[in-house]
Amino acid sequence: MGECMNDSFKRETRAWLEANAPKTLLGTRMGKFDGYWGGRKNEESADDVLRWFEVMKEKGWTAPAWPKAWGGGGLLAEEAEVLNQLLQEYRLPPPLVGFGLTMIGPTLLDFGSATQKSSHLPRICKGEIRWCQGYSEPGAGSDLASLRTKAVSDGDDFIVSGQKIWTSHADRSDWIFCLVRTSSTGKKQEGITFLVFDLNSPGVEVRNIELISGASPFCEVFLDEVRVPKENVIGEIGDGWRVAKALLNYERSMIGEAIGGQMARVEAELLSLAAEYRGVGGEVPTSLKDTIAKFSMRERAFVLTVQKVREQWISGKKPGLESSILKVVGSELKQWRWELAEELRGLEGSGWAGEGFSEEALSDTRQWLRSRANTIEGGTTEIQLNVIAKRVLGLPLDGRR
Amino acid sequence: MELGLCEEEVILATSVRGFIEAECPVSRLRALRGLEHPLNYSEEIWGEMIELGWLSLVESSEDRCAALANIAIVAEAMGHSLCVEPFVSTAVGGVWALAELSHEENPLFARISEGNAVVAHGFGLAKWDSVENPAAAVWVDLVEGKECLNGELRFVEFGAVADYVLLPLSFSHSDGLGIGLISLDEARVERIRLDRVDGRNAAHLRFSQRPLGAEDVLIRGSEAVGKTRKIFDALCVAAASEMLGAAQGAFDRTLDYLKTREQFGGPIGALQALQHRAARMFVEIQLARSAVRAASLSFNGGDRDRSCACSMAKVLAGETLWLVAKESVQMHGGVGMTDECDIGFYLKRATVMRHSLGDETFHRSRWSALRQY
Repeated sequence: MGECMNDSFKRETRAWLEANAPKTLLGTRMGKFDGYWGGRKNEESADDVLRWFEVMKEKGWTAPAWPKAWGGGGLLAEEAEVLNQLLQEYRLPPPLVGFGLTMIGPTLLDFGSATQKSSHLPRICKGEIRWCQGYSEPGAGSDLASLRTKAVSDGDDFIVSGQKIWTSHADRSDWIFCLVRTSSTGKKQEGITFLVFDLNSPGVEVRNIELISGASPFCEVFLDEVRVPKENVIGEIGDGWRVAKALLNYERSMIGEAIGGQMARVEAELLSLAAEYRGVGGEVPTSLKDTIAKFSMRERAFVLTVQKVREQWISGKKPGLESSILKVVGSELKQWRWELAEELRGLEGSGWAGEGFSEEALSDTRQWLRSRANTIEGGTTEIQLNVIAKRVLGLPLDGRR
Repeated sequence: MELGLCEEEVILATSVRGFIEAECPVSRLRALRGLEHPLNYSEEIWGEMIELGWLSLVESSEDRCAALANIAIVAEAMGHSLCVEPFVSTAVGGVWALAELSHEENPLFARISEGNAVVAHGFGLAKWDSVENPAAAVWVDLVEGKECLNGELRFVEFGAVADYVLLPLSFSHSDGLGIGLISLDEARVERIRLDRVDGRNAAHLRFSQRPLGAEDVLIRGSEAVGKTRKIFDALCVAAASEMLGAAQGAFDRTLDYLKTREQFGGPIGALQALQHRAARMFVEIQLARSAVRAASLSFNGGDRDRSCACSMAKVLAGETLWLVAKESVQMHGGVGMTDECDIGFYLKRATVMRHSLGDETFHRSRWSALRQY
C-alpha cells in the first residue's frame, strides 16, 4: 500500500519536474552547496537558478518535509526522500540551500515557540532571509563551552557584547543564530543561551577573513552592545547548550550528506587526471589504479553509510551521534580527493593565478587548499573523535573534568 | 536497498549470537588447535549448529540472495567468537553452490544440507588469468580417453577433514572450464595437513590421475565461467562477514579492557590517545559493515555490480580486521602478547583470512578492471 502511494507520487513528481525544471539546470548538480542561497544581499544568481527557485517555492518544495503551516511542502518523510532521489537522478541542484534550511530551521522545529516558528520558518522557505552561525569565538573553538560573548539582561532585552569568529558567509547573511553567555556561575555549559538576531542591528560589524585558498568564506562578527529582545531566545535562558548540541547534529549530518553528494563522479575525474598527467602510453600506471580503487571503495562505503543513516532518519530517528562518524569520514575523504588531484597534477597544480595554468588546475588548487578546513570547521576531527569515544563508546571522561 | 537488518534477520542474528556466546568462548581454541587434535573443531558444537538449522538456510530463505544474506549473518556471529566449525565452506561451497548450479535434486544436496558431509572449497587462492577468466589450480587431462584430475589445491580450509571439495576445473583437452564437487576419499587424494597460525583445519590437496566421473562435474562449458565468479563472490561475502564479526569481536574485547584496566589512577580508556584510536576503529567498522551488507544484498542485481560490491566488502573487512586486530593487541599491552590472553587469536585469524580468497591488492585490481580503469 505504502509502496503504491510512493510509486504514484514518484510518477507525478517526475512529470512535474520534467515540465517545470529549467532544462539548462539538468545535470548541473555538484553538491548541496551548489545552489541558490537567497537572502536580502543576494545579487549574482543566474536567471535559470532563480526561476528554478521560484517554481519550487510556489510548490512549497524548498523545504519539502516541513509542515505546510510553516511554509514547507508538508510531504511525508518517504515522499521527501523520493523527491530528493529524483533531484539526484536528474542531477538538479537543490532550489535553495543554506543554514536556514539545514540548521536553524530543524532546530526551530524542535525547540522554537509557535511565534518563533511562524516568524522565521516561512521566511526561510521563501529564501528571504539567509542565516549564519555564531558559535566559535577567538578563545572558544574546539572548547566551545568556554565562550565569553555576554548577554546582559536589560528589561525585556539582552545587551550582547563580544566577538564571534569563523562565521561562514556572515558578510552575505541577514540573521545570525548565536551562543551567548547569560551566566558565569556553575558549570560553563549551564550559563549559555541560544539567541537569534538581525545582523542589521546597531552594534554589529562583520569583517572577512582571508584563507590560505585566497577565498574569504569565513568572517569575524564583532558585537558591541547589540540590543536583542528576550523573545529571540530559542529554548530557555541558560539552556542553550542543549539546543546548540542538537543543532550540531544537524550541521554535521548536513556536512556529511553534502560531501556524499559531491563525491559521485570523483572516481572518473581522478582517472582522467591520472591518464592525462601520469599516463604511460595512454595507460594509467597500476600503482595509481590501486590508489584510485582504494579511494573509490572508501567513498562508496561512505555513501552507503550515509544512505543507511538516512534510512534511519526516514523511519523517524533524529540525526544523532552517527553524524560525528559521517563528519570524520566525509571531511577526510574530501581532503583525500583534492590531495590526489594535487598529487596527480604535480607542478601543473602549483599555480595560484594567471597565465601558464589551466582554469581547472587553478580552481582545483584553491579547492585543495580550501579542503584543509574540512577537518577543522563544524567541529574538528579531534572533537568528533572525542564525541564518538565518550558518547558512543562510553569511554570515561579524562581526569581533567 | 535496506542497509539495516529486517525483522526476521534480527531474530536470526539474536538467536545465533545467543548460542555462540553461550557455547563458543574464544578460549576453547587453545584445546582445538594443532595437529594433535583430529578435527580442529568441536564435533558436538558442529552437531548443534546443524541441529539449529543453519545449513537449511538456503531452503528456508525466500531466494538465494536472501539465503546468502542469512548465511552472512551467521558467519558474522561466528567470526565474533572466532568459531572454527566448517559452516561457511559447507553452507556456501556446498549447499548454496549446489542450489546455484541447479543441483537441488542431486543426492549430495540433501546429504550436505542435512549435515552429513563437510565441504571444503578450492577457491581460496585467487589466481585468475583475468577478471573474466578464473584460472583453476587443478586441471583435467584426457588419459586413454578418460578424464583425470591433476594438480594441487593449496591452503584448503577444512581440507584435512572435508568429505568433498568444491573447485574450479580447467579442462586442458577442451580448453573449457567447469566446477567440480569431488569426493575426498583417502585412496584418491593425497592430503598434506597444515598446522597454521589460526589453528583451523587446513590441508594441501594433491590429485594425481584421479579419474573424474560424470557425477563429479556439476557444470562445464561457457556457463561455468559466470557461475565460478558468482560462487567466488558468495564465498567472499561470507568471508567478509566473518572478518567483520571478528573485527567487532576484537573491538568489543578491547573496549571492555579500556574501561576496566587501571593505570595512572584510573581506567586507561580515559586517556585521549587511546580514545581517539578506539573511535577510529569504531568508524572503520561502521564503513566495513555498510560495505559487507551491501555486498550480501547484491546477488539479485547485475554481475558486474555484484562482483564490485563483493570485492569491496572483502577489502574493507580485511583491512578493518587487520587494523583492529593489531590495535587490539597493542592496547592490551604486555598481556596482549601472551598466549594466555584471547586477543592474539584475532590477529592470527586476521592474517589467514585476509589472504585467502584474494588479498586486498587482488580485489582492488579486480575492481579497477571491472570498472574499466
